[in-house]
Amino acid sequence: MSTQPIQIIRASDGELVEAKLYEGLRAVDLTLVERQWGSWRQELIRKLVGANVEQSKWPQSLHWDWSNKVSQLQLLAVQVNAIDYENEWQAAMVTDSITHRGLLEIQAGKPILYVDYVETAPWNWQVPEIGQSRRYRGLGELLMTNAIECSFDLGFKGRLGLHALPQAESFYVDRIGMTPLGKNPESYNLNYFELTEAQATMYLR
Amino acid sequence: MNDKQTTRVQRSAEWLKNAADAENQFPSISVGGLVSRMGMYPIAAPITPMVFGELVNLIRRKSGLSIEQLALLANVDATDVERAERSFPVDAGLVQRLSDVLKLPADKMAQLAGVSELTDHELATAAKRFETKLRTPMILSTSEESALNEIMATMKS
Amino acid sequence: MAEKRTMTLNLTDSEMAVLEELAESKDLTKTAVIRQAIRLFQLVEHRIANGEKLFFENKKKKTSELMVL
Repeated sequence: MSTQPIQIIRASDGELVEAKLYEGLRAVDLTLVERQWGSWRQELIRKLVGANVEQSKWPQSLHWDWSNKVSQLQLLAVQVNAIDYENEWQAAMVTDSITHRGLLEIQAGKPILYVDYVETAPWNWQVPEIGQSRRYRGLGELLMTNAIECSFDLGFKGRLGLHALPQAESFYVDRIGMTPLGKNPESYNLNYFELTEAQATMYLR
Repeated sequence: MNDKQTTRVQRSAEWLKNAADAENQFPSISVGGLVSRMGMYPIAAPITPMVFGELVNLIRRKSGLSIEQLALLANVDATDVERAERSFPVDAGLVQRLSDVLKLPADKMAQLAGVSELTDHELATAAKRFETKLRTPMILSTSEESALNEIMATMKS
Repeated sequence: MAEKRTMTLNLTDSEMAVLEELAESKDLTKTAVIRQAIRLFQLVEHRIANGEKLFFENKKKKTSELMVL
């Protein structure tokens, strides 16, 4: 495991604060991350129900429950990276360097770094229906920068693949520059996106 | 045979501020492959979102079980059962455990819960009919009538 | 990024040829191929140790072959 300093933005005053990026956490650490987030999720559910917000407008990752679910992740191929600020996990990412290969024609069959999971802490979600705005910002961009760097480290030249939740699709296409490939048989009803070497280089610029 | 070592990109404060502003325009950045594989993301939104919860509720009561008893038998938290009955999203594991205890076919229950795709058309039609019936105002049952009378009496006293 | 150590790898001509071919077709360096192979080997061993089996399936020919590793 390694750590390095990273800056994130405090939304309340727009100031940059010094956080830490952890690379190569163990699977068990993801459970700890999720434990920190769980009670906040429950609180959000209560608020959404209280405010009569339609379920279709709820954050789509609201009901994830991680207890006892990460035992499969103790492999070299799987890496957990997360951003910590003041002993609170602000965002986390899981990548897998083995189980997926490129589908886009330009990188068909070539290894890609598959981003298996990205999530920010629930206090960093924007939930306008109950008046919640993000506490820290820029986390998604920093994690995607990190994912591309990890892909380069592995010799994958920045190639990435991921299945985005519907509410996040536009972020990966319009902001990160990924190519949508639609749903594939293993896509669990989520749309699949890939980043090519050229798109990665463009994003890092 | 050394790989070129990539150093981490140092993002400038300006880049980060611009990126964060841009990111703020998007409602979410959630990536869900892992979560889907673990059964935590519904494959399809249930077309009849109330049916799974109502079915669990009715069959539980028909079996004479309290929420706590069902939870105990299924080895889950009582709050999970309660949330399921109130039509909160459920995961595949919970569907499986509740179905086992209530002796219901787990694959069909998973379709009703939106954990797997609703491919059984007959089931879909039956589910819609079930939901319509549940929503139709109907005559109060004896126990509803007595419970209602009881609370009304207290409020009036 | 984790620190790396260097080692010398002795390969036969045919092994080297395969390594070069894989590096070429997968658009990886030779080091990256070896590192990928280590991760793959560990993944397979881990799953087999957990009581799982490795199959290759051909949907067109409707065959599946059990790999004994």
